[in-house]
Amino acid sequence: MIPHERSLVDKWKDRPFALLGVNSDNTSTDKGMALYKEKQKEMGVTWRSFRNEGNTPNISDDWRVRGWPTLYYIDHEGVIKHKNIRGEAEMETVLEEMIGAAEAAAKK
Amino acid sequence: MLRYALAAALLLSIPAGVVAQSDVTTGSQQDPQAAYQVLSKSYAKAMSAWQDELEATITKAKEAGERVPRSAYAPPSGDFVSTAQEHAKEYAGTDAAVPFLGFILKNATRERNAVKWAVKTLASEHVDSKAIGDVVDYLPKVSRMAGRSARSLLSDVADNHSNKTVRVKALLARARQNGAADKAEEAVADLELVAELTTDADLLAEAKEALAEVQKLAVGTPAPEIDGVDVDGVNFKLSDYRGKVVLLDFWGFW
Repeated sequence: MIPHERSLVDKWKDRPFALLGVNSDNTSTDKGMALYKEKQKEMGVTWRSFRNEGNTPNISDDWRVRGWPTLYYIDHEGVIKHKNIRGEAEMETVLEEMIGAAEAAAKK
Repeated sequence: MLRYALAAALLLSIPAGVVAQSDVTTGSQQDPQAAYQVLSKSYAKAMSAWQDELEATITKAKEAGERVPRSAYAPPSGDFVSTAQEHAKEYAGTDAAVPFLGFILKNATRERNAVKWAVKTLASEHVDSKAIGDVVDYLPKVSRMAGRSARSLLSDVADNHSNKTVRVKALLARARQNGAADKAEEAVADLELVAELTTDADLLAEAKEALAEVQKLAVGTPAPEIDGVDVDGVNFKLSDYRGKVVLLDFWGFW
């Protein structure tokens, strides 16, 4: 999961694409935060994440997340285009298409 | 252990008449509505006692640096489900049994046999009754214990019941279930049917609300805003990224 996601972030760093996380680790305590930072470094997580807990309601509740990981594909206009596509090849095809559409819209 | 102690304490706190009532062979007739009231009230009391107990257990375990025993998380539903089952048998074949069958569906947590029995009984003895309209809402709740039979009963009522209001209630329940399972198209079809079948303002309002709930987060609809903080505590919003494709990933290291 994480290595592939990192490769996507690298691949499209100059194009209109962002990987955003909603992280459910306990980062609200110092100890939890230290653990998170350590793992973040170790696993090479370079992207930004919302903190899931502490929002009212928790973001995952608001988004009715039942299993982790859950993926939402949101286009440049903020519309949900796909959900939970997990196969690496299919992820790239779908995102490439969406990024192309975002670039086309920006040129208009 | 805690659970048993709690159950025993509860049994003592229930009026003697109810305990006698569970002995079907005595034939002591009690008003079914009153019996239902007693059951649901004593269950509510047990649940709140269990929640308090659980909170105390968690606090204690945290202080001691120990794990909370898994059993502490099990709600005390067993005895109440048994009592409901006895009442349902006592009133077997009549509408008075239906609320008790509904109680089993609504409150069972791991009483799989009782749930299967309740679904089977509803399907074989009450499928045509109007009373079933009051319990169809609970059928999706038992999907893990009696998934297939509960789904088929719900569909039978939703598609075939002769009373329109009962059908509508079943359609609403099925639409919510489908919506939660990401089957938005099926859910929308059921909710459109609701609008055709009923003029009842409350039911229509329910359908409207269910439709909004189904459509929220469906493919093709706007993503809800997220206004939160990142793991470093910095505020930001999902809409800050408008213009870019966003892959939103709910994740954790754990």
